[in-house]
Amino acid sequence: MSTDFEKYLEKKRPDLDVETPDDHIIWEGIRKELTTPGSGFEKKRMLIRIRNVAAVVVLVLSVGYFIYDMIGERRQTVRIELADIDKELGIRENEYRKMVALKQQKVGSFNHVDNLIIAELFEEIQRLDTIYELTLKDLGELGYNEQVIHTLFDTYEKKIYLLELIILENNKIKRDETDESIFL
Amino acid sequence: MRESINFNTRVIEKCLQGDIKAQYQLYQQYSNAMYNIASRLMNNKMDAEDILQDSFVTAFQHLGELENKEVFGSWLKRIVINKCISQLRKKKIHFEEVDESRVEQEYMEEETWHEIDPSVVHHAVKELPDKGRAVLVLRALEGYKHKEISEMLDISVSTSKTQYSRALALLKKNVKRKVYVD
Repeated sequence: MSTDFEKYLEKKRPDLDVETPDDHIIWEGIRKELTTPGSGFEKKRMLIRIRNVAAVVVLVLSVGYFIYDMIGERRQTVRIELADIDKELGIRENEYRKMVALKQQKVGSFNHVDNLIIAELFEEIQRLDTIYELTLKDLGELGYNEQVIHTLFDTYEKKIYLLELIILENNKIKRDETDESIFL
Repeated sequence: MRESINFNTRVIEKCLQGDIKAQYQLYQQYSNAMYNIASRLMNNKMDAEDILQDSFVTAFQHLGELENKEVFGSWLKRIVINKCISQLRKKKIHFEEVDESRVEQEYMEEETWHEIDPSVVHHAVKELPDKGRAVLVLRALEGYKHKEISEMLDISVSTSKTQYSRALALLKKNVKRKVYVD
């Protein structure tokens, strides 16, 4: 049997809706979601970041070839490392290598290669590795060149960034899997 | 009422054809009520707004699957409620039950309830512990039966009933405090 208070709640039910949503922002979000089907905000943000990295990769690649063209004839390739050019540069490169190795070790234990975002990130890393090899060749041919050195360090930084994105995405997947199994 | 249902059905048909104006019309018609349901269940403005947005996106994307267009409102409400429950689970919110010791005997005169401002009750509902609040909102405000609530929240029917009566008593206590103390 209903109490007077329950009767009050039933009678006043429509009047309890006293809050108003921010319609402009919410509708804008709905409209965007509907015009970009199948993409959650988080996923979209991640894909935008990947696209940005890809754009930089293309730029770096173009600059690399531009330098190559400027110099003219390709000289015989000599495998050279930054440490061969300058001790400080060698130390800096070594730090980057350690960081990459550390993150790669962590990423190596993941088993989410079927995830679309993670797969795209791995592809970007492969492209970066190609750029790194090409730039290293340039270094062998040109010797000390600020642009080439900058490109080398840039590939390290971007690789670290991409590896971090993979770790974050993997953590998110694991978190979602755990959440699914939680009872109220 | 029949006219309103026919109007809704016409708007929904337009939505199915991708008419953005019709979608906005439907949004405007239901956004306030759905937002308040989410707000009471989540007790968090940002979460409630996210759920409102997400629910409408889901509804528009699956509108073609709704056989009886006349029940759009209750279908949308169910989407909102399901998303709220799912979000509460995901956020690992401690689903605190209403403890019996927190509920004291109510001395408010029953006949004075009709004088209470509904906004006071709305905000008092949001102050209830999570599980009790969910049960109370679903039972007293959204009209679900205890069996349905037990399935939605994955609790027993008796727990639903106990939580409901405790939450109701605690709500009365909170409303009284708001009216006479605050």
